[in-house]
Amino acid sequence: MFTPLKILSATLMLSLSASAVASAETDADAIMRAVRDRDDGRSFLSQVSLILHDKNGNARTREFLYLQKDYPEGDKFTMFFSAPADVRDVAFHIENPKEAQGREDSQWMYLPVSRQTRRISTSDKRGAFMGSEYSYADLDKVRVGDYRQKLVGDEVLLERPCHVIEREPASPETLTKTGYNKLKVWVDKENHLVMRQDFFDVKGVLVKQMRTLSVATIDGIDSIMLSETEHFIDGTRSEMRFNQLKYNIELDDKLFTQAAIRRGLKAGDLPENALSSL
Amino acid sequence: MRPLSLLALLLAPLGVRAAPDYWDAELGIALATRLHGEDRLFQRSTQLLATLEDSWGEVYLKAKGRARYDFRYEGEHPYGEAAEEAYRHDADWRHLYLGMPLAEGELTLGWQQVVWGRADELRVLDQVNPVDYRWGGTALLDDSRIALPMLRYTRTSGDWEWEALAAGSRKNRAPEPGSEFDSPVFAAPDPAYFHALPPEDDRGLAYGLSANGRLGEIDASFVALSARQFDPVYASLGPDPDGRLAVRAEHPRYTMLGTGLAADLGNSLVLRGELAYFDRWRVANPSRETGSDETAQIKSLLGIDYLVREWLISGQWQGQRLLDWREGMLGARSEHVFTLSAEGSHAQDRLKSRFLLAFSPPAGDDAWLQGLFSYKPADWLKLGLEINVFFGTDTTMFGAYDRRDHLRLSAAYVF
Repeated sequence: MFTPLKILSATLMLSLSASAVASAETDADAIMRAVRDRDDGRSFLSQVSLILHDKNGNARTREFLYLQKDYPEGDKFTMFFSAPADVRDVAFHIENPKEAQGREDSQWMYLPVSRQTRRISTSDKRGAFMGSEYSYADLDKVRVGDYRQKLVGDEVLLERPCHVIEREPASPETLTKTGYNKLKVWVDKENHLVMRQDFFDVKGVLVKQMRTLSVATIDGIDSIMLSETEHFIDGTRSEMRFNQLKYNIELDDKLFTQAAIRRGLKAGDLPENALSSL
Repeated sequence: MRPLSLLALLLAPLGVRAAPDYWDAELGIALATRLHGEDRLFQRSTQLLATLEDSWGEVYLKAKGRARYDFRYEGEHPYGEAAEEAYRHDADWRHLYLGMPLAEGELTLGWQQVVWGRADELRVLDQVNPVDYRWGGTALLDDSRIALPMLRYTRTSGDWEWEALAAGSRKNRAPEPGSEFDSPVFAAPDPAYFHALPPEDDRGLAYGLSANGRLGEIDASFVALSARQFDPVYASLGPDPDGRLAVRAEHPRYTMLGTGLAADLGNSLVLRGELAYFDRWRVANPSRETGSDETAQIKSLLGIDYLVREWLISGQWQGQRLLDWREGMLGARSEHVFTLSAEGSHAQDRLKSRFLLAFSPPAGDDAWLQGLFSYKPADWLKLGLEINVFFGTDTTMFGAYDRRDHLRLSAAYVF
């Protein structure tokens, strides 16, 4: 039988527990906002090696130049692939508006085989990025409002104390866009880098894991130098190695347009010091 | 001047270094066989494709060349001497040009391919370069577009790219009569009844302008082109002493104005549209004394792309209408082509597939099914399979190949 005292106790316990959940969610939101808003310079350039490992241990490497620049309305990215021959001159341009604008990003792809720049719809980001284990969704900038998230603990990874956060899609659209029913994210407490991320499918199965393997401080900014994603179902693995990295360099606005990906990267497009180090 | 001589002349004062900035090459073999009839093997070829890029300061060179040799034309074959001449060996530049910055823009000079618009293997705004139809009308455009000698200037201003070009004159190349790829669609005047004289004046540059950019959330293109028709129109010159009718091939000049739009509709859909207006377009009309009529023409395209994981599914309609159509014209008042394609990549991009259905109504008279597969077990090896199946009547673009369904197997070593 429930006595008034018991009811009061139960109510108190429930409200205490509810406020603990709310607090965990608030903390988790704040942490994910810190991840999204962390200082990554006003511009960024890197030569990237994308290494695809098949289940038999064979590896193929794809090279591209990655450029990013901040604009008042959001970030713009351009990627120019240079090797191997079958992806040479493939290029992407992405415009990612700030989350507060509530708009999806815009993407264009240039394929040398058709000599055309084509607009790509961004509603489905489940596809593999250039055949790798990274999906287009995995490479998206963090959006806090797309998920309900809660802080579930602390762990140490690569000798770095991390928050552990569980994220679930806040809407069916996010689930459709990414294909992930749940994410578990390890965030470095000090610099807010994502050190590990587990990806669960709609059946709750852990399908993929992204791991940060190497971090370095470049131009005063802690940066991921080597990341790896393993697909547990397919038995495949991809590495993304940032061979050269530069922040806050002068990048011309003309590199962040649709026209740029058709034209390709030419000598003189990048600052002289950037070219010499690549 | 031959392209190679021009290349040597251009490179000599620049002091070419031993190692270019970039090169790659691909040496391949291909076998093609018809699925019906006797003597089915119709292609046994080898192909070398080579790419070279180099730069000297801000001046750069881009070159891509192709050489093909078809052993099917060695010894006995059923296709005749003209076909042997046309198909046994062949070499061309896919592009060969120098580029340099100029007045905050870029100038490129040499043999180039310029693709306007966003259509998938259909040509509405894509009218700058002619097409080599020697291997039929179903080869991929990037394999069959003919590079033109061209002076091209592009300049970017904000989200917009402006382009001006002047290009030399080349024509579409039709399949050789009697060849595996011959079709009534490409028919030339029958020598038994017509004495076809070569064109008198088909030279002259093509001039083009384009602007590509964005209007709000919509990608937009505007193009203008003054050029000569790539396919010949035959003017009647009257009877010859031998009783045949003398005709002269002409490539009349026309002007095209066009626009293209593309927008992300959400829900994984992108909508594309193109519209082109051709002024003073000439169409053969044997009932006329001159052998042809002039008309305005409109070409339009509507396409929708649906992206689902690694698959891009596209549906397209292309319409073509002769606005001043007259009785006797060798061309329908309006023609329509529909395409439905699915293109995907799997197994870490090793396997690429493309399925295509193209037809003109009524579909039973003119339809084409294609499957294209390429598999790269390693970066140095590329295997290919192509299947083409046609349905229809003899006088239609696809139906003409109804008894020539075929498959092609290929393998290439990538250096």
